[in-house]
Amino acid sequence: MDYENIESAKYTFENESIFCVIGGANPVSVSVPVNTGNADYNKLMEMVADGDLAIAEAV
Amino acid sequence: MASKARDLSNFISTAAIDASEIGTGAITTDKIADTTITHAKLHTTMDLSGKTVTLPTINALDVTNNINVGGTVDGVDIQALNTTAGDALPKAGGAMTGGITSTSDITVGNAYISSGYSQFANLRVPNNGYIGTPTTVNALQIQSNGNIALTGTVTATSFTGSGAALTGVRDTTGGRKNWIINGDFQISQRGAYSSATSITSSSVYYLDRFKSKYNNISGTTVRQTNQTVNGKVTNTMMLTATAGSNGRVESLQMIEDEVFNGQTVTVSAWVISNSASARLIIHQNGANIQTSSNAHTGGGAYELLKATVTCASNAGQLHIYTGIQAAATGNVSIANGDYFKMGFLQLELGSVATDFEHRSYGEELALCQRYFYNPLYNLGGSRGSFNIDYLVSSGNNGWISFTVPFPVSMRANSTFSHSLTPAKFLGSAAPADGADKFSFYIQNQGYAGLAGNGSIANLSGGGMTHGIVGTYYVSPSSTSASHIFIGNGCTFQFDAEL
Repeated sequence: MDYENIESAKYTFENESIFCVIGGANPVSVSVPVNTGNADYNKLMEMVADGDLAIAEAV
Repeated sequence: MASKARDLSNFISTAAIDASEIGTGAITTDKIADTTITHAKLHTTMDLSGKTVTLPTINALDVTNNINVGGTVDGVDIQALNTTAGDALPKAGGAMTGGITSTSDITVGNAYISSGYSQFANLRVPNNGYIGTPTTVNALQIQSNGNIALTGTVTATSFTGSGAALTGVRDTTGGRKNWIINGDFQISQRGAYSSATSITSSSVYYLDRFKSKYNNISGTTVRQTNQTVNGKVTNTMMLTATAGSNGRVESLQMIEDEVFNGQTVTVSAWVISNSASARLIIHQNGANIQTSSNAHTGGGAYELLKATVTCASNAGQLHIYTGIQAAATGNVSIANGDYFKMGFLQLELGSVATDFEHRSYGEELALCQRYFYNPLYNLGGSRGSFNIDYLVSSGNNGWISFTVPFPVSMRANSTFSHSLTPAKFLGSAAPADGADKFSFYIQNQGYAGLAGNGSIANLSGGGMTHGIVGTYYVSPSSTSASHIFIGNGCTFQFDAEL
């Protein structure tokens, strides 16, 4: 997952997933499960803790 | 008084002659040697006690019958002595049918046991006796329990037997010994990387199970096939610095299993490089200990790099770093054009870097798919095809969902990524080979349109044993559809890497 090009992130599926839009050279849509066994989720939480990412609440 | 001296040449006596009456020199050897003096003419015994018998130096004693010796024969060269069956010593080249008993050392030039003979023979040593050089090393001990203790190395062309009771052998010969997955770089689900591909300062997975990055410079990676490494054809992974500074280029594989606490492990790979800082590193993530291999000479030829470490009791997960880097994974002086290319990367238990364990493509692919699954990888066609569930609405609230079967259960709940957007929809055709396109298909009828005011880009989902993906406000435009076709040029993948 290209963490450096995350354009947006929001919780979905009743907060069971984080949906990210990735820009850059290879734009993709990414669903990251809210699960500490998932390395992407742990990285996103690290970025949030460092103030490098904000994740929108589910609507 | 007349002399008793007389000529005895014709003297014949049937009575005993008193030797005191025989004068010195009266009986000459010529007479004794006379063939007419036979055994029958001599007395049956001749007492030479206290006498000295001087024999000629050549052929001193020529006897055709037995010599009975009650005492010791000393000072005799017995090499010409022949014995009959049952006697102890043969002449040189003869056969010894008896045994040798000695309380002292017996020195021989070469000892052969039944050499050239068909019968069995035994070499017996006492319990706990040794065979070897007594004053230096006793190479072989045959113990009282039948065990053999060796102090040297056994060199043999083969061993027989089941080996069921062997211990300590797994470290060097056991199967499934390589803990590295994709160590010969067969699998690359994320892309071919057949030409130099820029890497970043963040660790990103390129070839399966390997993530790469540079630090303080820039660099590329490339996967090369049909490379000859150590006389064998394989694939290689190469890292190249495209700028010079104090920095590094490295790849990393993290080993999922944490079973190495207190274990001795060895990492090895064949590496070609022009940098004397090219090396392999075992990082014990729990104990934060790094162990470097020998550094490459930088001579531009393949060299075997290897490192062995007995892990700490809290070693935890092992991380294997490869590249141009410091011994503790830090930066080094690196020049533009410095490269690191490796084949046959292996991590195994034990202190010996053994031959690389080759696994089949199918085995290696399945191992990789636990961590990453691309349903469009090497699928043998232009598109992936999935049965869809859908709801077509007259409004804009239709939806689709479909299941993606996983060939193996993934390590964890996976991250789902895709590149589908409304602009990539094909209304009336299947995606061509390599196309980053998708379409809806109705079985035996043709293609359906795309409806809804939502975006296929919002397709989301994931899974561990299988993937379920879907989205709202998007559906086929027809009242029926059976498939979604996703071109093999799309990104459509599930990631559960460490």
